[in-house]
Amino acid sequence: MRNFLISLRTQGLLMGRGAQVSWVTRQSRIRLLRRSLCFFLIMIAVLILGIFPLRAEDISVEATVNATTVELGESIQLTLNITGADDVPAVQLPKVDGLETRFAETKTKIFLSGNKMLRSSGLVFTIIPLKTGQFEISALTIPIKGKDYTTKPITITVVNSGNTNSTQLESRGTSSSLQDKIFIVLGTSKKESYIGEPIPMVIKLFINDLNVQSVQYPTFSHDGFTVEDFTEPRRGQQTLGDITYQVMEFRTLLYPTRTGDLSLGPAKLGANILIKNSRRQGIPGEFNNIFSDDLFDNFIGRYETKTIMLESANLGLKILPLPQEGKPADFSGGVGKYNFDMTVSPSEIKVGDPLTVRMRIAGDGNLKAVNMPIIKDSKDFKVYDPKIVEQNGEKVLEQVIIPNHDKITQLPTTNFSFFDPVEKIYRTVTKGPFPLTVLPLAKGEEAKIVGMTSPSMSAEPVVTTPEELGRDIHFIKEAMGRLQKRGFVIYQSGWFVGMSVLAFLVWIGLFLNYEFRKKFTADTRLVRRWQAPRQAKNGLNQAAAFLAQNDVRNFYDTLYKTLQDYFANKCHLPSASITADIVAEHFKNHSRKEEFIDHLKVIFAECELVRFASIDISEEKMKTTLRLAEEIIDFSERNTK
Amino acid sequence: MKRTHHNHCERSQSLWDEPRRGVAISGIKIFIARLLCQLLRFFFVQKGLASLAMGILFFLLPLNTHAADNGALTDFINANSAYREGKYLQAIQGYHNILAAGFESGPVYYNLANAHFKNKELGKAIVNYERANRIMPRDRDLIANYKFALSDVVGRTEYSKNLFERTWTSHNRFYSTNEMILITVLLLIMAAFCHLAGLYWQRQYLRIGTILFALLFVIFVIGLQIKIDLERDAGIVMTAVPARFEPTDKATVYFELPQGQAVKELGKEGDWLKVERPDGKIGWVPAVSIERI
Repeated sequence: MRNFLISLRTQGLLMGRGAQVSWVTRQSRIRLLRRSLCFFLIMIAVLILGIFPLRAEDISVEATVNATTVELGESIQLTLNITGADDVPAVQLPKVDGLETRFAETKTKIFLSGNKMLRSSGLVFTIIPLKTGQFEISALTIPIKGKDYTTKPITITVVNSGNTNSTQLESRGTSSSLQDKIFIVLGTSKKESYIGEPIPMVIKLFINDLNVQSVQYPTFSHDGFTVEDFTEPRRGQQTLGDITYQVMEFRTLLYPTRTGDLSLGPAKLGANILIKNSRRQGIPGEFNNIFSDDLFDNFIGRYETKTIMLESANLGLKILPLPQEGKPADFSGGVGKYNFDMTVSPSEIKVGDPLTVRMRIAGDGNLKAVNMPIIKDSKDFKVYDPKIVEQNGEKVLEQVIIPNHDKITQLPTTNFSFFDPVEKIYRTVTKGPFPLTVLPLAKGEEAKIVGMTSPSMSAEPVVTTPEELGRDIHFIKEAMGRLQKRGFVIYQSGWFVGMSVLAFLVWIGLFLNYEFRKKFTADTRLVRRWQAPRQAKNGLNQAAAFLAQNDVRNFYDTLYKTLQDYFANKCHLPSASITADIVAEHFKNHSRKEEFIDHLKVIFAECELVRFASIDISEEKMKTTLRLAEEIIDFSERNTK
Repeated sequence: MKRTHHNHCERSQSLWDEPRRGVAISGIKIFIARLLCQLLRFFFVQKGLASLAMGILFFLLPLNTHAADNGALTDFINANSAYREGKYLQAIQGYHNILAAGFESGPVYYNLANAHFKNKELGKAIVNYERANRIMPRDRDLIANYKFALSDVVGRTEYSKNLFERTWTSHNRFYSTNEMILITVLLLIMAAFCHLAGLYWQRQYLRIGTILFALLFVIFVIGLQIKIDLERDAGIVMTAVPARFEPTDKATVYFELPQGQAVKELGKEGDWLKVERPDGKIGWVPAVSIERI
């Protein structure tokens, strides 16, 4: 592929503009071309596979029916599925006395199986029973491409209509009201049954010439019955009078839980029906006629959905109690027809080794009501709790038992009793006895059985049961605990609010303190300006001290340095650089600056005179100079920021 | 059912020690508070944090605001004696006297609930166990009795919770409302303290501590909000009653509420209360059939 692309590129066929196209664009085009080629190859492969002739072993033929048992008056759909053949031959169902068959339709679908595209044709036939009985549709032989394919024979049972309220159907098939176009009928297979006996029940939804959607599962009142879940609804046809209805059947099983005359129903079923909307709004006249066309109506869908709730009539059932006569002591509670199997394995074991007993009960009765026969603890066997599982229409028990000694030769018989409602008698199925060979333990060998206290096998097994504890409330409290006002909540107390506010204020204070310090540390100009008056005050105090001691030199040194440091801090300049002119520059915008600068110059001159010329100065003069210095600093503080 | 009693008579001695112990504990608290304040001042005075530390200390060591009332104590002792003798109505009256005086405590509600339970008043027992639970939520006797009483409610509806909801509920039920408020405030203070300390000392662990305490604070605030919201309108059904679609006797019955069922009050219309069952179903019941927790 790469070479192919290079050759294309070399020939200038791949890119029209060659070198003018950027490298990135070139790469993206190569990727696009690769993808296109891959897609092309995949499509070719699919086409080749699609037209590849199917082999003979790919063809299959199967016949299925949507129900094997049907009531007289109902119909069955038989579908003949021919998979893998292109040409489907004409098929004729064999004539069966008592059944009428009609070809209904052909359904075709194409699907992928592995890497093959297969075609499946379904020939659908409608079978209408004409009488009750059991009918067999014999195997069909269909020749396809010179080879015969045979289906399996199908047996259909046609029964009479069961227990339905006769008035439910009497009036149907004659009227054309909505109630006659769609209705439900509740029916059971029998009018009288025994308590616990399974009763097949069907709720049929009849539909004639209506578009019905969103059919819900029916609900019905069933006081005195337990009910299983509905099976998948079955579709078919049924003729009442002159009208053929589409029928949807919801089937389930009922188990009566009490005796007497019980009422079943009414059954309720919700569905949506599409009703053509005859009301038309718009401009009357010619223009409106354009839109009155049925085709246009269908196209734009002038239908409205109406939700309806269908209700059937009630159904009476007589439930009989089980006869007491002949009732076995170990009656399991099962009513119906059951099969009971039991196995024990292994048949040869040592003392203390486990045996597994398996029992299986299957049948058409209510398995939930059946109590499995259980092997009980005895001197011969240590018995563990059984594990009972109900699945796939059967109830299976597995129980582990352990022989306690080597004198055991068999596992005794086990009985399973149930009531057969058809024959109206109790039946007991007995399994066993099961022969066992129990070998003694070797010398020095010990059997390990959970629940046995002694290694001696003749000892009575001790069954460990959980300790039964008493149940009651604990005693009252003796201490009253800390009393508080009723409904007291902590935030209502003064100390709580006070402490909360105090904590908040402390936090605010410390936070502001931190912010202040941070700002103070960062801005040296500000720090010097803030510190200037305090330092000046200290300096003046020191000078006053020297004045009191009449120490002229130190007085003027201190005074000079104080003024210099003060103005240096104020102007954010080095102290040595401070002169009267620089200070004058600092106060240039002030109205009284001339007087202020004159005073400063006088003080600076006097200080320098004393410091460098050593002249005598009176105490009064020094006091005047100190007061002047204080006024200068005061003036500066008042008139500068 | 086999019934057994736990004998707790040995505790009766401690009953008389209660007031003296209360005074002694208060004195010890003050002493410890002063001592710790001095220590904290010694460590934090340089940074000006002594006030904050003192504030925290006061939260940790709240002092008794209500002294044990002698009258209430007498009523409590008399009611306990009546209970021991099986005079449950008399015991109930004694515990009610304490409540009528304006005081309450976890053991008072607990004993009152026990007396109602013994007197076959399941609804009243459950409502008082709930009240006791709000004051002493971790008391094992209370939890056991409450569960036992609930197991006697036939047809009780309970909302099945997922793992998160179960965890959240058990967290909220672990603390009383007052404890949750205190912990929430303390967490806020700790978060603020760590924040300030982090500013002053610039340590990583202090910043992590700030985030941790702040997260816990948020969790507790949400928990507190839910707890208060749930407890505010909770009620217990005193007598089995049908909940109806409308607040009239003629309205259709929606569902049945058994005695002892917990409900939430949603509204009131005359003598009728609009209540919500834990599974979300809402109906109207006569107000007299519900007692607020």
